[in-house]
Amino acid sequence: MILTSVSAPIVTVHVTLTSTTMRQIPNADAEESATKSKKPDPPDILDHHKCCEALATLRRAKWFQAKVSPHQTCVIICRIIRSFACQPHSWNPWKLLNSWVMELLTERIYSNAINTITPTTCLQRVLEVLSAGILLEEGTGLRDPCEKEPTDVLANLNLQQKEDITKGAQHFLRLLVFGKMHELLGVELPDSQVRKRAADQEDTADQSSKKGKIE
Amino acid sequence: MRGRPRSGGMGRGAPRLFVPHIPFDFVMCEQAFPRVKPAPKDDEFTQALVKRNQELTASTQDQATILDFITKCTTALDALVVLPNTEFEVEIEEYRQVGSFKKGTMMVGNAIADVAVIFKSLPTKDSVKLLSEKLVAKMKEDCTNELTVEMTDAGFEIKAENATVNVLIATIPSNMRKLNSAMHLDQKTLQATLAAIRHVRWFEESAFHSSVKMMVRLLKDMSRRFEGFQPLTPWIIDLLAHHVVMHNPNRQPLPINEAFRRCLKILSSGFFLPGSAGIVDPCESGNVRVHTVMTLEQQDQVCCTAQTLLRVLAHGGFKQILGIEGTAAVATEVNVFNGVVVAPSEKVYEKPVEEEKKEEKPTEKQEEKEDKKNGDAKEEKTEEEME
Repeated sequence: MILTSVSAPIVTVHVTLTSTTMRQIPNADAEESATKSKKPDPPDILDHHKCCEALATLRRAKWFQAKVSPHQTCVIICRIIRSFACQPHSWNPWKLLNSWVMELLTERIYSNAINTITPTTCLQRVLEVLSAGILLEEGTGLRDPCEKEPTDVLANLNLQQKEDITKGAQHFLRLLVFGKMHELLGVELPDSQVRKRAADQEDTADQSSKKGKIE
Repeated sequence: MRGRPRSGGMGRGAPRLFVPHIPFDFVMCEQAFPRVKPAPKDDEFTQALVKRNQELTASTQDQATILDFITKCTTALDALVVLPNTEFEVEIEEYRQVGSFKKGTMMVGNAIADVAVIFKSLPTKDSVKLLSEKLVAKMKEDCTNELTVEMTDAGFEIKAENATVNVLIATIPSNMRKLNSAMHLDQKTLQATLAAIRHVRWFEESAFHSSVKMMVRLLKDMSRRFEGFQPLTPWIIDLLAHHVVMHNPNRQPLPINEAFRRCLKILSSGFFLPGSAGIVDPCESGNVRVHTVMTLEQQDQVCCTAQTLLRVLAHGGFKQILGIEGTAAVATEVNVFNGVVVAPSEKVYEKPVEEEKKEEKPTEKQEEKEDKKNGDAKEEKTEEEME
């Protein structure tokens, strides 16, 4: 169901209907009792796969609120990485990466850092992890904290997609290290003055991108 | 001019403190990324690594030839050391074998042994010449082979039919101040020879494990074949090989296949990029990061090549990387492995325009210090390349 408000501001709300009973069906011990006691599914039942997906999204949102929302840095980096996908390059592998993977990766890095890290370091780390080939075939994969069984959240990407994302991240990492943050963020170099100090440049670039973009 | 390290933790306060960034390394934080996929099947890859290593190792026969030759040379040196001043005016403090032959990492087709000779007297160019003449004369006493001598910047080379001894000259530290560039050997080359002695000592103490030596050979081979790895000096390779094999939480040497992968991974993550902690030279005082020997362009190039090779490796292209199949073009051209298109990474570093160069004055003391050291280290590179 999609609700759209008619008057300005135009807001679109997607409403997905689901039920926790949908997820219990594949559960082994529940299955026996279910087959005995449960009435057969009504004929007009909603698509099972989509309902499970909606439940997963719900779990992920809860996880996000608990783990990511309290940390400003984490949220900033998630947003910036999502913004990569919006850049109008002809070749943009970031579109392939869904936001759930990004959130997970960022949270892993943020929570495993020894000290609290700045947004720049956090972004650099995310790019480093991707550069080191976590997505690639021999990598460890990324465990989904919202599933009981160890599940690889990267499993739905094919090899070529993984390759492309890795290559993109590797390129971005070097851009970042060699002081081309503005190219990364797709913003103008704020001022010729900014070159004077690396720290300044990175901060300003961060801020300007945040201002320019409302999600 | 070095680029400014741009790692996190830099304060905005007046004297900027340089905090090196430690790039990500899977091996150091395995708990953070628990494995959910089965480990890759590496049998074939490991076998290929071992086999390639054997091919790269100098044959026992070659090694015996060189050993024989260097022994003759050292015997002759022994005789010269004890000669009284009246007969031979060059005073020798001591001599030591250095370089890849001593380290046990000699490559096939590179039959050169290095000896560092430390003078007690001042190392004038004439005295070096005198030493070479005396040494050859001594060696000819028990050697029938034709010997030729070739002077080099750092000393001289004695060549026989199938072996070469490269003699490097150094002097005792108290002489370093008295040097005159017109009369004596260049101070930088003398320092580099002393560094070579320290390197061998470090290598024998820390990097004696056979996996480290394997890794050194494989890396040297890669730096020969891939243009992008050419900036890696032999000393950087030694340290990097030691790092990837030995530096892990368990303090146990990693198997060669894991070490090889790790090497490409950390290079891809920017281990040798500006601002990275990299490896601190264990043989120099004052926290010199070894990769700062390379220019920014070279650092970008090394990282770029490693990134491409890592992706090639991940898609099963290990034969091309090890040079068993294909050419070095794998690092610079678009290739297809198992249906996956692998395009090479592109360089990002551009040389700053002249005007900007003037603005960017190094503000940190450490940077200046590094600059100075770089000069020395660069010399050392040429030095060790002779190995």
